[in-house]
Amino acid sequence: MTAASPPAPLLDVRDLEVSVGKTPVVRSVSFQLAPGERLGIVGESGSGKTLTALSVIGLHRAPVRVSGGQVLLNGTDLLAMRRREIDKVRGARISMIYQDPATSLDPLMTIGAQITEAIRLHEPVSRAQARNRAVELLGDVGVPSPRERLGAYPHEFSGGMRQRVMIAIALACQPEVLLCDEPTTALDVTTQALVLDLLDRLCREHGVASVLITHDLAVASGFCDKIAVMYAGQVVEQAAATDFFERPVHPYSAALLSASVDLAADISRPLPTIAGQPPVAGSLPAGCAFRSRCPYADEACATGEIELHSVGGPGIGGSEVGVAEARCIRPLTDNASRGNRGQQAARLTQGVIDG
Amino acid sequence: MAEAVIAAAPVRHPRRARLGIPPVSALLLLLIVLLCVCAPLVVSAGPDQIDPTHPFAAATGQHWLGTDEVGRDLLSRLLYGGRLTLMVCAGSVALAFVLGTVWGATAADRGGWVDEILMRGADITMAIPQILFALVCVAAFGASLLSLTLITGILLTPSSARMARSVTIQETGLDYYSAGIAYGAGKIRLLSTEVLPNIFPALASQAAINAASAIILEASLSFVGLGVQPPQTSWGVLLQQGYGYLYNDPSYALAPAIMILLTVLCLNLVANRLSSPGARRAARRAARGGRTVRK
Repeated sequence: MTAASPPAPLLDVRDLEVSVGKTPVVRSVSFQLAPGERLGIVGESGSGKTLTALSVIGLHRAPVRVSGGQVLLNGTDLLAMRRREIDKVRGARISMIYQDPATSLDPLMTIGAQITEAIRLHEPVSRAQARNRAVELLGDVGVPSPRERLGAYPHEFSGGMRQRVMIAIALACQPEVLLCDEPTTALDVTTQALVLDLLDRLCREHGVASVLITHDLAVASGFCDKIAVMYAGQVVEQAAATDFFERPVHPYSAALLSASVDLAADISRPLPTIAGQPPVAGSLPAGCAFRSRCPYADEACATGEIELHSVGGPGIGGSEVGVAEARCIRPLTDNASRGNRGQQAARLTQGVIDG
Repeated sequence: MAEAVIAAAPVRHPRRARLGIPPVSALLLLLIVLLCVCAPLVVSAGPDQIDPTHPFAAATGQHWLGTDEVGRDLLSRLLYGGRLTLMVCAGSVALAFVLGTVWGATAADRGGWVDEILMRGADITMAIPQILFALVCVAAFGASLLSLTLITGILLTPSSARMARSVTIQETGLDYYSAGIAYGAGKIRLLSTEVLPNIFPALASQAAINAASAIILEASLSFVGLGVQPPQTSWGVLLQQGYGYLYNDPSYALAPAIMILLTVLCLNLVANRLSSPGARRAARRAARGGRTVRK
């Protein structure tokens, strides 16, 4: 525990390295999570978001392996734990919600049995007690008439309701950390909002810290305290959510933000995109991975490993995190980003759809 | 026409399905098994009851299928023989089911070199000619009912293992398995309480196919004198004995042959049913029913 951060981090991921065979796919990812804090990990598909989360809880499977780093939960390294030890931690202190509620419940077990099983795995309670807890949990996540629904099978539930059941299972043993791997991607927008509200309420009530993995910036902005942007397996920017959406520091973050479309966008104009393709894992260019797509890049960007370093002054809005960190030697500093946002967005993204 | 297209859902015999009547193949199979198991109730004459005064008797009210060369009742011998055949079949299928499931699930779960070794082992076992393997084993351990069951079971294990491996891989790829791990459940627990019920329909279908193979294997081994040894009798033994009198009394050999044919046919049809999607659904429903009752 360093004295630098006032609240001791609950989850401290240090220099996590994950590779597929010999190809590194997650490179030196570090983040801290204070009790009750919410971190959003955003990025394109294939940027290593999900692999990061899976490795944190040790769910990666061959040929994916963790090749370095530490995952400290209250100071104990999860990666160094033996199987039996980590089984006691998973579910009880760190838990996970999956993307697809259609496959994340066992089709042959009643949801009651699945919730009570999750409880009884970690707590020495009787079947009846566990059942009562399950009823409470189901009621808590907003499943109507929970006692009757205990005997129902997953196929009798809608997608949103299944995801609620998943949340109930994930929170059954009051974990301290909840990893949410795109929990709302498979749901329609209305259900998405309901499920997010539910997660928001439960995390607040139970004081659960959470990591939300998403490619939906709108989802992240509503839910998270901190945002980490991943690109080509690295965290390229980490900042308080309020700061991040106000003034992103890394050119990639800025591009990502200006490429997002909301209902107010003029649909007659081409959708903004980021030109080019993300680099292929295993053949990454030297220097900055975003270099080839970055309008600000110059020769200096092509040399050496760029470290994640603090950029700019203390954050606006009195946020606790204060400074943003970015892996960039040409960050969008205050004067640049405050100058002309419209022009900047135009530089960063191009309408590539032919008119 | 549009209606016809919509109505083209492949439900065979909808009325029978609605009434919950099992397919003919399953009923026939049940009948054969029941007849053999309850043989003492069906026939009065024992299978070893000799009546040297009436060899090769034609079918009469007393001996429905006639008698053999020493006057033993052929129906009685057929049913008692069926008992042994079915016993060997059941024993070896159970052995293959247990061994194969553990084998396949281990390969699927471990992956990597363990998987390679186990599955190449299965390939090698399958490449050995069955009769040759049985011949060597019988020479080494002697011909007995137990060794016959063990040999047949071992020969059927690799195909069970292959099936178990492929469906386990399929099932453990689903989120509910890794969710189970994320909630702190052990692998063995998950495999036995969650994955096994889900892969059961596929394993049952493979077991039915195995049962058909086991019957043929038993019959072939007994026919060449490596399986059930006279005076004990099985369908294979009967076939072999009847073969010697094929011109005198064709029905002698025909009866066991028909029984083998019918049983194998029914088993294959049942296996076919079990592996079709509709049946899997039905099997899952059945598994569910069982679970609810147990609670």
